[in-house]
Amino acid sequence: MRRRLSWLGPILLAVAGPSACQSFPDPPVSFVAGLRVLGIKAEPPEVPAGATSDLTTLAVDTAGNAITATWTECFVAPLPGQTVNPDCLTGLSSSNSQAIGSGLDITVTMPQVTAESLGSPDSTGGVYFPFAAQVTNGADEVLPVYRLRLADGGSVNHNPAILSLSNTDSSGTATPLDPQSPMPVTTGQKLSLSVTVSPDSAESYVRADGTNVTEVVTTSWFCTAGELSFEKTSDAQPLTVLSLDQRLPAPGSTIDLWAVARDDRGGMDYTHRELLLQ
Amino acid sequence: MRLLGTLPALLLTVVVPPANARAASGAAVLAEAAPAFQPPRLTHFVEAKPPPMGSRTEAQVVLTIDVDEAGHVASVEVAQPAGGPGGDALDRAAVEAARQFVFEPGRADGKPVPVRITYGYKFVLKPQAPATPPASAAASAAQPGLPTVPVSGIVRKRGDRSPVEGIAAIVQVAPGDERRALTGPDGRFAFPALPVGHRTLELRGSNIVPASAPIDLHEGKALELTTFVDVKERYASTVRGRRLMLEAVEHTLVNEEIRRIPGTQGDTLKAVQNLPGVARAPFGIGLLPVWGSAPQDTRVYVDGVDIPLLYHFGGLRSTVNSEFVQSLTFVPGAYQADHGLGLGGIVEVEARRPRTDGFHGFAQMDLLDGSVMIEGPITKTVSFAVAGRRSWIDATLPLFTTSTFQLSPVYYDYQARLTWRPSPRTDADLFLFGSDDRLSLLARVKNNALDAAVASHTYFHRLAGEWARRFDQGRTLSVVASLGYDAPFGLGVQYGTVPTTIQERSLNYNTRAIGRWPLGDLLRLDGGVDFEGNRWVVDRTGSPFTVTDVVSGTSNQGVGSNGGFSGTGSGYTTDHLILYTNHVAPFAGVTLSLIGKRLTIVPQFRLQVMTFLGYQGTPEAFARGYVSPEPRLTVRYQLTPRWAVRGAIGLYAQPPDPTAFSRPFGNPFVVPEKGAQAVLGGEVDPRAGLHIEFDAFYKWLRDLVVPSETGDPVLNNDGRGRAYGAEIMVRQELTQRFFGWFVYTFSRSERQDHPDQGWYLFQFDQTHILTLILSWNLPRGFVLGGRFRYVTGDPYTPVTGAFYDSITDHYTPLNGATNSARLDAFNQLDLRVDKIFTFDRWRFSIYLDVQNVLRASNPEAVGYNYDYRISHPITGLPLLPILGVRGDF
Repeated sequence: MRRRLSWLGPILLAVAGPSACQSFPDPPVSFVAGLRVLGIKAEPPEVPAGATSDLTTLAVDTAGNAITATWTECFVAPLPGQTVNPDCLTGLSSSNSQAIGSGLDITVTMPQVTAESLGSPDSTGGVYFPFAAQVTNGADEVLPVYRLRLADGGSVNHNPAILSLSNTDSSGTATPLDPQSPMPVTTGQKLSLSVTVSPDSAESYVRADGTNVTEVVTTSWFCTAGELSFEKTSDAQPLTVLSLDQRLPAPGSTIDLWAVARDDRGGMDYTHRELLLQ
Repeated sequence: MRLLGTLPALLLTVVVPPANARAASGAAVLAEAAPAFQPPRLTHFVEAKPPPMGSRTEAQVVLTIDVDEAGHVASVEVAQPAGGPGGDALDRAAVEAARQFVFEPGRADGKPVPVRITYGYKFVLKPQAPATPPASAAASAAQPGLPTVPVSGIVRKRGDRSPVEGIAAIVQVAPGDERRALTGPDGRFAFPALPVGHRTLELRGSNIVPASAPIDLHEGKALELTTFVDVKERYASTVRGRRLMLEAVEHTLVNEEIRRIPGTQGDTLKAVQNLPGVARAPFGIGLLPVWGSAPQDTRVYVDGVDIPLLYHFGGLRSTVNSEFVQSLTFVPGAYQADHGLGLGGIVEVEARRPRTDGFHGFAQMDLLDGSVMIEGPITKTVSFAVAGRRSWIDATLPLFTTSTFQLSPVYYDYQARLTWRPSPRTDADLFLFGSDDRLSLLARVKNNALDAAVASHTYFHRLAGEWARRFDQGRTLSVVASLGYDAPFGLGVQYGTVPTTIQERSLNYNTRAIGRWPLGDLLRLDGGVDFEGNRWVVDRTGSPFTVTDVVSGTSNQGVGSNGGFSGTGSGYTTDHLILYTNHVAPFAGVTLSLIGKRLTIVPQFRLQVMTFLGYQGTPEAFARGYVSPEPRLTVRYQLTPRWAVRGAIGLYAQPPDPTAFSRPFGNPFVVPEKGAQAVLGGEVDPRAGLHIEFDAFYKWLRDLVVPSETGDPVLNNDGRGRAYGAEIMVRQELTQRFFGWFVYTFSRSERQDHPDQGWYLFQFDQTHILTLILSWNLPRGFVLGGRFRYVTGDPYTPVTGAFYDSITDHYTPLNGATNSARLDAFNQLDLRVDKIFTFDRWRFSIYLDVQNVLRASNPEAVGYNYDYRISHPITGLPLLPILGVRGDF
């Protein structure tokens, strides 16, 4: 008989290690500073071979620099356990990739590939063709990848849709934030934020293990000031509290807030609001 | 140290009380051996039939007696005949009687060894009048007219009430009239008649603090006393269990030492981590990477029964209560043919038989857990022991962390043993023991890429029956059979909405039979059969393949080849594997003693047969069998009484992990991993109690199970490995004041996953491992100990970049060359203070064990921010004080 503690070790290292010793001092993933890619939206998010999809890159640079993106496609299938084969990310000049265009918004075409050539299905039963970008503001660079889901003849996935982004006050009343005008906020204020998505955002599908499941729409939150109590929300945890008590800009400045909703199969929607610090 | 040669300086003689031409039953050691060596002790004396002595009043026959490791008389020769009239008859009578003696075997370095002793068998013709008058007569002579009363008693050790043998009870009844009685093995002494009056009982002995007590003797009232004495703690070495064959390198730990090693909280089995050749596991999580092998390659046996887990969660505590441990033997490699199925070392725990001198027990508690034990005799031949432990660290751990992690480890273990000794030569034991670990953890890592919930439940239960018989001429036979049920691995990780789990269960049925047959002084045959059977059930959901460690970015090559926990990657699937593994191995060895028993050569052979049957009754069914001939050889040469050299070489094989046979997660065609090991070294005892051992080792590994390059199948046997190094251990054995260890290991361990790839450092490659342990007994029952460790940092794979996956909203690291960077070195000082309060009938102790006194910031892994641009070391606990109390009775 063999002891498998060795296997447990890395898991515990990953999970318990930081807990036992210290918390990370770094800025949280939800805090946006400098160049960031917060998501890539494909419309539609699932296409058959030969069909096209429009990719929209949600890229921001808090310094206001111009952002450019150069795209490649990669025909190297991921090995089991991988989402993307790292060989696809070894550079635009790699023989594994070929350039397909530039721009934060680009239309891509699903090549004439078979499902088998894209590796084994993931937990949702899907296989994907990867499109990688080199996003830069001239000084910094991010390598985002969008994996376009290959339609397999079953029910095709659609993007979720964010209907509103609201702040819930202490009385429990939810007030949508106006996308057209910044919401005034003060130092130390706490906002209880949530999004409402369209009822058909969470679709049903058959998972890889044969289980019939309904998608869970998860919202990732990003902001340029303050601290969020939860960086991701869903129906199970719909609220996140933005505490405006740290990383604050000068009074009179605006604070950007993004909510990016994702389903299980590559569908995405996002929205943006501004807060005005008084 | 092993002592295979003669000990000519040892002379035992018999003190003969006045009697009619008879031999006596008392014995005294005249020449004291070095503390490292304990001579055989006569436990069963046989009186010779006195032949006619003619006109002689006394005669002595000097005998040379060979006492084997079991304490039996292997041979008797007359070294110096009695001579004179009737001398031949006296010689024959002495030889005949000595052949029936039974000894407690001699020990060297705590290990039973064959010893040759010189024994003077003295015959004394009983004089007409006793040389010493009977007590009552003497009393009458001294104080005529005083009535007498019988006085008896028992002398016990303070603190645990164990009887103390060999103590002289002295009562002076008149000037020049001193009565003496000696305590027997049961601690009892008796004066048939002492004159009444106010007396003083004095207790004297070489191993006790002298004591005295007033006694009043009244006419017509017999007096029964129970007295308690302070025994000088001359620490006895832990007796190593009977080993079948000679090991080239092995370390037997001493309980009294181990209990006081800082950082171990008195845990016997945790002390293994301080021995040479053992690399340090990060966070001290209880892994045993030995001589460059993966931790799971080292096997752990309890009374010959393999167990899957030596330590509870995180290495906090061993799964077998230390009080149940009679001895612990650690063989780092090149072990002998009585064991197999592992490419690393072996740890053998010999459970202690329950005490028979009354009821005893203890209760202990500290910040980690609490444990209790009780033991004692049921009948004259049956005794029992029961122990249990349960943690409460789930309640105390939050005191030491401010993290948002919700960590809740809970463990318990239990042991129950029944021992039946129907005859002095036969032992039968029934041992039930087990361990259970549960861990639940909710990780809500806001700043990291990980967002997971982890739950783990592992356990094992064993019922073992052992029968052992010691025959004449040192022949022995022991059989142990066990039945067990395990969950050696169970883990569930929820990545977002995607569950990934592995649940492993095993029903195991094992048998070991070992026999020993000495053929004269120079040759001994050993042999037996080793069978291990398992029915594994492995249920698994997730994506296969070894994934990168989300914290350090390192892959787990060489540490485990059973896949990872990616819930978002490709290849997500499920599997239900039922696997039958039946491994049987007959083995045999010959021990040749040459050149005056200074040269010992032990050629051995193990024929390991392994079978694997999986997915029976399904289209995926497979059945495979492998035969692994494994010759091994051990040689040892005692250059001088203080110097010895040794070496060993052998072939080894171990079955792949059961999960490796999974069709979607592994490869049903994987074959056993193989290795060869060689060691060359020596040992020297510069002076009494000081041992130095040094060894150099080399290990070859091949057919290691590794992830394939194509991912289809997921695993294959392309892996290779090599490890080499040298180690030294300087060990000052316990004296009454002090003990210390100096341990240093230099090593290098490398792996190659595929023939077309390069070699890289093994994950636990640690160039320098230095451990220094010191302990002092201070006045007033205080004990102070310190441990300092310096270890080269572990290799890790640096992250060269990362890409952002928009679907999962996670960054994935891009790794550099495998294990091409190293963490900073680890250094830590631990201190421990014990205070012992000894009362007549029980003992109370309190200890403070402080780890990392200097608050060294030791990196255990590398942490990254969410996009892997910022890295920083993850350090171990800055300082961990553990306060514990314990009561023994």
